[in-house]
Amino acid sequence: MDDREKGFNLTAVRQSTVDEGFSPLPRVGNVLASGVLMMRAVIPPMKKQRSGSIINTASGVGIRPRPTLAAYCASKGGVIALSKAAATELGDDGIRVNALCPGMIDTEMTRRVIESHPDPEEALARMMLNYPLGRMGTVEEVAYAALFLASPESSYITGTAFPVDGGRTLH
Amino acid sequence: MDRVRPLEGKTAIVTGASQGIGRGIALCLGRAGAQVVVNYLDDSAAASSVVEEIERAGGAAVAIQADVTKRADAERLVARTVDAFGTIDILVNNAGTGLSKPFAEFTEADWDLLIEVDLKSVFLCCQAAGAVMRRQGSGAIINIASVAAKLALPYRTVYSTIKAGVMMFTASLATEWAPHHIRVNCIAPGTILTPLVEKNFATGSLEPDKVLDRTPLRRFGEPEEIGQAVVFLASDAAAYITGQTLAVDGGWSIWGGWTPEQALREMP
Repeated sequence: MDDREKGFNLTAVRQSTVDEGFSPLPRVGNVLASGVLMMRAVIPPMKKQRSGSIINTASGVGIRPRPTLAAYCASKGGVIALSKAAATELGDDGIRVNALCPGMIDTEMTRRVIESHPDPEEALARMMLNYPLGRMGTVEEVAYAALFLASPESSYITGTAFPVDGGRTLH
Repeated sequence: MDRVRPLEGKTAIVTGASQGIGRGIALCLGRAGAQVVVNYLDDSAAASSVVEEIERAGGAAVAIQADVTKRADAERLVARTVDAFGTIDILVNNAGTGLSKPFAEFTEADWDLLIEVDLKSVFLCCQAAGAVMRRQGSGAIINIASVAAKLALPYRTVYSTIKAGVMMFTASLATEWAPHHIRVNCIAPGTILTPLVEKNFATGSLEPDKVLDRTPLRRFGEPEEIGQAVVFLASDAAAYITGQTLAVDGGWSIWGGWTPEQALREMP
């Protein structure tokens, strides 16, 4: 993974707030800046048509942070607040903005993290203790939530932090 | 999963479904393919018209009278649902009532009424329907709270307290029944155009302009917009979502209170 990829893939950065070298700025800034730039690009046409749905991908850690991932938690909390702020500004134009907050999802990246543990099976079982549904989510389950938020089915929903996390953020 | 009829073959109970939000939920569930039990307290004509509307659209529904603040009634509602459709997959605890008045004037009878209708009914119906869901090892429960569950508003001290109770009930039961593959979620509606809200507008206990000033989308919600959210949460599309309270409020609950123009004008 090169530095550029690391800049966006913040789960790779294990740092705590008390680490001397910890500086969340470049990384958190990258995540928020990319969100802002993308939104800025789509807002004018959405305003013109007086409708639109923006979905920013945050994370459950933006709601319930966890230790050793300070920059990641800060960036995702920032994405949630950014989405809410945008929702208050854009509601008048019929544009909805919501933040998707996935828990642990069964992706290649997640698998790589699990496999890096000495005993992957034990590690996964331990992680799943925090998940009332007792399993990782699937990519499709996150996609269905995005589809719902993109569709007119969610026409009165804006500014939410929308967890798809098997209940991880409940406790 | 069929995106048009994601609840094909499922059975749903909607409490308090003869009018307002409950009616909108029942219609959406019917359209999504579910067999719908339209529970009502005393307006059988209104409940029948909801059943007819679902049937006209090609769906299946029955109206069942039950006072869901009474355990015997809640159990009878569940038993009759199983008689009619063989199972219960979805329970929507929608029955509820509101009461806004200065806290100093609240009577003990007011408190008891709100507790029974808004909270005890959820407790009773979850136990009764939950027994069936736990046996079959699956189910989806959706409770209807309110924007007042998360936001403090004057004259709604008791109502807000109880609706916040519904939210925490949802989250706690979700953690407890997850091993039974029963998901429990909640919806917090904002101001939805229902007969009750229109009455509140007419009597002045709710001011339409003030509500719109606090709603980023600048319009009221429709009962079926709550119904669509219920369909999503009840379907397998939401199979990884449990314990959550979803705001369907046009953004009310994230609003700072200023319109964008006001905010610009009043900047230091």
